[in-house]
Amino acid sequence: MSRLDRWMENSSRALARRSGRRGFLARLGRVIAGGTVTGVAALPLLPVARGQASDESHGSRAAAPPEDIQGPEGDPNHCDYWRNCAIDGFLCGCCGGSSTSCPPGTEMSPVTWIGTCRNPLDKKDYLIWYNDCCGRNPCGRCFCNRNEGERPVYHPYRNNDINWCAGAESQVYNCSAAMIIGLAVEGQPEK
Amino acid sequence: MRLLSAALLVTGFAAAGVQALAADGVAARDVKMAQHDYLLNCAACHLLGGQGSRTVPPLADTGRLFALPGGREYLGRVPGAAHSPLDDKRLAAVLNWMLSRFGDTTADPPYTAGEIGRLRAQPYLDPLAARRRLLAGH
Amino acid sequence: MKALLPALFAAILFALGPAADTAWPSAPEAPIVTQDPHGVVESVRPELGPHALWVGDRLFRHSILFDGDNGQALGMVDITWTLGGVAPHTSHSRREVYVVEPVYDRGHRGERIDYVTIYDLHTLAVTGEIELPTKGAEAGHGVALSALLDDERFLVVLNLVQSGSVTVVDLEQRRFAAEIPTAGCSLVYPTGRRSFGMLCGDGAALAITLADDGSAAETRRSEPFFDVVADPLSEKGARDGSRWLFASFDGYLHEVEFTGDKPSLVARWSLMTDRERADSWLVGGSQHLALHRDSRRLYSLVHQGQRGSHKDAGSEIWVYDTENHARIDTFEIPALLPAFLRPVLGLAPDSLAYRVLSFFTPSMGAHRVVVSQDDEPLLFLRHGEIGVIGVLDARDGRHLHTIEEAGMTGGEIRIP
Repeated sequence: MSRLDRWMENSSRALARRSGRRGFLARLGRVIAGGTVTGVAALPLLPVARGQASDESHGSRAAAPPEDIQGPEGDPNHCDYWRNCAIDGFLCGCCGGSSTSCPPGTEMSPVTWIGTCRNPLDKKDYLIWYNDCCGRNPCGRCFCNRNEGERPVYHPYRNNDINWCAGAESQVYNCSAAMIIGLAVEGQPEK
Repeated sequence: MRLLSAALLVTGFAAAGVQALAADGVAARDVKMAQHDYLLNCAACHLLGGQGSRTVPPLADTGRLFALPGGREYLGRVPGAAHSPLDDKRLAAVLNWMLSRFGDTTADPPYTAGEIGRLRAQPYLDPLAARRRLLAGH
Repeated sequence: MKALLPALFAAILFALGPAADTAWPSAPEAPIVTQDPHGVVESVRPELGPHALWVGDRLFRHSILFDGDNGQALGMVDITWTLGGVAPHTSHSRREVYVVEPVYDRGHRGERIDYVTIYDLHTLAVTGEIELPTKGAEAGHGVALSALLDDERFLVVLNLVQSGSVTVVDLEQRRFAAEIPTAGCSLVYPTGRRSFGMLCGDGAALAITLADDGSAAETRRSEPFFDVVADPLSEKGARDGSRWLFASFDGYLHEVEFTGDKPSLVARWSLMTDRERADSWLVGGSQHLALHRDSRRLYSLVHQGQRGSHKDAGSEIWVYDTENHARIDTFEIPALLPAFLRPVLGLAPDSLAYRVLSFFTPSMGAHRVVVSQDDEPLLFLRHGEIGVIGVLDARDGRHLHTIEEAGMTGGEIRIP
């Protein structure tokens, strides 16, 4: 294997994981577009994320996490978005829903799995509830495969390979959403 | 809306948990930890309010089960508890908290790490049958 | 998908054609004899060679049977799971193929009924179905969700609904036989004539032997032998008779014996040196471990990563002698992308453009590896998002050829 080969492979590996199926094209796009991509990523967050933050601030729990994050870690429809730290599937925000809601015509599975993700802005860990949306064929957009703290099926509540639509009326998987339950006391033990 | 209600639920039961356990002298910090451990390791299936779902029984039943002969052992041997990635001490704390929060009862005496360590070493392969036996009184 | 459109148009034109011709007079004349015989349907040849391979495809929801020697497709069976792309089970004694699948009465809506669909291995025609409780577990990797036990009478299907169980299917009598509760334990690994193993959430293993009626005759549990939090076992193991080899996330191979008084860990050895571990080498992928039983060679997909990269593609294959617990070889993984792009771009295999593409495209590694069990074994490699199969000589790692258009996405691969 040539040195060039290995270098390209090393740099592509992390990207493939984070940007998933579109990784190769995304990488190509990044190379070609250069600064343009940075501009897109710096766009303000979707109103959904803001609305939800204000919902949570009604409670006496911890304040809502800061979401004004620049770059892909602040873009809910990007695999690098901080809350997507263990999503293996399609992001609902690219499928007609949002990072916290299901696309029209689907149903949110009641059971799911829960883990923690670290918000890069305040460096705090948040409890994230990953819910699958069910009842339509797989969305096929914004595929991500991140597995931080993910575990094999013998710990089902920490596994993202399982079709969690098993708990819904229809077991046909469409996409995945990531919602904040609250501030974690500590990061999940698997990290 | 779903999220708002979820947030309120969390907030609500955090407060209730503090009230119920404060009387037993359990530090608020421990309650917070137990709640965190519940959310991270149990709520995926039992849900935030312990209500369960189509396929998962509600945790409100735990008070009734605990009161039955063998009920105390049962709760420590259910695989969801026994196999959780919590050490014995924290699992004991979650069960004590859960009984207070969802089961409307108090573990008296509270579960200890030693007791949990013994119970979880014998996890059920058929918790539903064990539950039926418990309820039938044998 | 675009490549399909012309074919679709052709099919529509073909279907419309005869309808427009119905007004022709039906004068008697000599019968038309076509040059090629009409209406022929092929069969899979009676004996599958040792290099046959099932390749599951999530997108088209089927599994294609390939001849690994020449890359020819021999036939295919349908699989309806929305996530899996699970490869089917093959019974050589019964000459049947089994697919576990949920079927909805309105395509992907409506009432769900789970079936084992039975195909004849020779004709690949559906010859029967067995209705199961609607509980079968579905998981993206497709690994260890069902198991055909060695005497090929019973098929075991994992359920994750409620507290967890397995469904036992009697293939001889073609009926649902039993449901065995296995709460806290998951995944099913065939270990013998009528026995299988599971891995449990407390770091133990479970061994179940079936009675004649498919119920559990014997259930044995090991002591916990791995740390589910600090260094869990990957569920993507390799079978060695009544043993299974599992790699832990940190790269320690665990040899688990499922027979005896109770299942036990018989050996534990490191797949990496301290130096390699410090250099961040890890095991990972969707089917990242394969064993050639006669030569005792173990093939492991490895990459340089960190915690959470356990599903990443392997960038190399490390080859071990399982008797000496030593690494004996390292295989490169060829770039599979050019073979995937070639038909899409319409490049001839011997064209300059294709050679240039092949030269410059880096390898993106592979997520899945399996090895045939004959004396001239082949390694089959697949990347989760590249619909081709790389074929290597398992003895020296030589890249022999690549099977093109082998499923659009993902999917389990399995030697029948």
